[in-house]
Amino acid sequence: MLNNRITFEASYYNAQVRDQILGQTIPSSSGASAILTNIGTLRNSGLEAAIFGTVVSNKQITWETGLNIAKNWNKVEKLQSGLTEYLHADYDGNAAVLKSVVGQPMGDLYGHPILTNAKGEKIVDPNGLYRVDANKLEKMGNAMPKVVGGWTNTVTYKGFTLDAMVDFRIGGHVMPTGVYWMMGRGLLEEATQFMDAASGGLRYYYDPVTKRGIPTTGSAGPNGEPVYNDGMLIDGVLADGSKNTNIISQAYYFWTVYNWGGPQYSPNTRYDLYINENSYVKMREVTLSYKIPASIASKIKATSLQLAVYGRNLFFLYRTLKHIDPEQTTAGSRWYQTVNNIGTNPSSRQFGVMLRAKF
Amino acid sequence: MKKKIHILALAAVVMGASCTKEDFSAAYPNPASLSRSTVEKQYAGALNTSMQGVLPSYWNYFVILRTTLQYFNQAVGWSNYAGQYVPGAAAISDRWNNFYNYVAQYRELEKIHKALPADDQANYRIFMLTAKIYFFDMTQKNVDLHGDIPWSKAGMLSANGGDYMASLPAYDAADKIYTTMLDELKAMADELSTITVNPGILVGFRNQDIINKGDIMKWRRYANSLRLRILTRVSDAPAFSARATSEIASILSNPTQYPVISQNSENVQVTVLDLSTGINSGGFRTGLEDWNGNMASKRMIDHMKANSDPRLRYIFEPGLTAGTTYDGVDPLGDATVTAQLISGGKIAMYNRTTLSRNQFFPGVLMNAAEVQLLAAEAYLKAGNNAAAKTAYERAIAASIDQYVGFRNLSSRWNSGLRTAVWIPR
Repeated sequence: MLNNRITFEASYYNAQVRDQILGQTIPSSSGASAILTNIGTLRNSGLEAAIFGTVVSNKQITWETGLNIAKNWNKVEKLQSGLTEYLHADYDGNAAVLKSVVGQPMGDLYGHPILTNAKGEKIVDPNGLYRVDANKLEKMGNAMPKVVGGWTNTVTYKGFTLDAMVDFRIGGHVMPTGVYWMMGRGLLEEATQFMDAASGGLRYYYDPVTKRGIPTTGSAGPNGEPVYNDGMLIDGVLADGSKNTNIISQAYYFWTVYNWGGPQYSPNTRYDLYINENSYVKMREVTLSYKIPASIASKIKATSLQLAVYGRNLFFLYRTLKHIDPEQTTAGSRWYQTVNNIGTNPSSRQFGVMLRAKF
Repeated sequence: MKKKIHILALAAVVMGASCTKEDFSAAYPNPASLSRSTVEKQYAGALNTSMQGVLPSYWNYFVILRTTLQYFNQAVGWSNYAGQYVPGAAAISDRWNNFYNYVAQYRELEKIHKALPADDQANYRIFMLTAKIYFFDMTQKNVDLHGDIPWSKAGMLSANGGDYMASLPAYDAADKIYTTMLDELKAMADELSTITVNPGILVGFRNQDIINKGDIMKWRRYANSLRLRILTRVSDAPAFSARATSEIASILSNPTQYPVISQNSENVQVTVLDLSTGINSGGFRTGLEDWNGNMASKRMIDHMKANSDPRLRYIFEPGLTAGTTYDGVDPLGDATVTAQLISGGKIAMYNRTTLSRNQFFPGVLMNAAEVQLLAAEAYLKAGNNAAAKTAYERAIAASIDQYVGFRNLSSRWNSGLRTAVWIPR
């Protein structure tokens, strides 16, 4: 098209993966706790499209650009012998699970919702925090991204070449537990909410008899109890249906809500808050290179000489997860180990200078 | 130059001594043939698989017992928290999985034994009898925790050639399991009283039997004591009570035919001999002490103090800042107050020398104190108060004797690490 100025490619695929080899957990009373076996039929269909073009091309400047996008639809069609779901991982004592359900895309993240009563009101424990529903797991997201792609640019001007590469991912959920544990320990800016009157904290004193925080406007409680300004009041009802009025300290809120463990260990810790969408647009790499003229290169008997400065993993144009590199959720070689950031190292940003010579 | 010659000479030696590819492959076992085992090795292997719940181990104490039985029976004290009586998933499922890991190894032993020629099967009978007595002991505990469990068809994956869909076992009713165990234990007790073991086989048996060191008399005591325990547990159930009464009486009245554990030297236990082997109690310390899992309960401490129980200073020691005062945690106490008492060292703790830091602490399966208490209960029910009293007093004496013994073999005691408040005997 247009004197080969624009190239367009598109491909569609529809593949069925049969006899997928997976570690199947089986009841230990059978004689083993897991068995590696051929189970599962998976359907992958998808569309990949790419467009390349030369935007500017004259004697001095050329600018080539390309955009590629891939979209994969994935569905679990069948599991071995009538099983309806396959458990990939159970996190922190049933706090959340990653499983694949027949008829759904692979890799659904399930967490416990807040417990509600018959009227649908959220239940607050006597300690002033929402209670999670230990008996219910709800789908909170899916680990598979919706769309991934990249955008490349190369601009050449005289001896200079500028390469810039942008990557993006839209959709798909992860559970960066480590980030929320930092939140629980007060290490993130978000954990300063309600820390004082200026940030919205309520004024209250702690009544040791009823073991509750009571709102006040005075400078001390009725029996001289100290008054604090870091109170939070959770909107919900107690188990008996009465409105929650217990004001709690924000430190206690963050410590408990962003703690470790499933409902059996931490009945007020909410992994439903940990499951987040992971979308980003990332400046993957920028390289500026200069081709040193042959007249200079020949002085050191080189046929060509190129000097380049580059930066990798530079910054984000957009991201939904503020505190980590969204790609740092890989804690193992299996795909289902890529949804959590426990035990992963922080990513690095690289800068470099490169001199390339040919003799 | 001289150096170079040396290097060349060394290289020549190395090359001369190098091996061929075949040597390597011969040195590595074929993974496909690693499933081979023998009756002797599998016997010890199966026992060893279950050791986590027999010898005090970190996992059993910290993960499983700390938030389950220790709380339920107030063996320990702790500060109250929301949901404290709901055990974590790991506590329940790990106990369950550990049992079935062991069952799978026991089934493997059965499979290996079954594949032997008939005369060898007869020769190795002693392994199968004693392995089954132990299997019943482990089973009884699991039935008492869960009720109906997969049992008679459990752990058959290997025997079924890996067909896992065919190996999903049905549940057996708890009372059926108890009946089977009682019938078979009686038959085995009788068989063991007359068994003769080929001396060659006996050598292997003594080596592999990490519980009773091949002492058949001890296995007879174990089998009969286990019968007493199982019968006593069901003695109030209508379906079992007549059987329990007559069978307990027949055991207690005929010690020649049905010997039981009657003194501490006859205790059935895994003895720790060498801390450098895997059979030791090194995990007891973190398992019991971590997260203040070793705090005393008020119930136990008050009972021992009220009765001037001499075991108090063997089983417990005062809190680090409590001087010589023994205090337990009040289960109705305010959580904040209790937590302060615990962190302030005011609460008595399980004696570190006798128990948690005693790496030689044995894996007790059944002891004289338990059997005497079972006997006392039976005598009391039969209206024989004098015999009940004698048995009860023997039980207490055996228990005191045993705790003193535990402390005397403690690595901590013997290395001179005695706590300040210790008053030596």
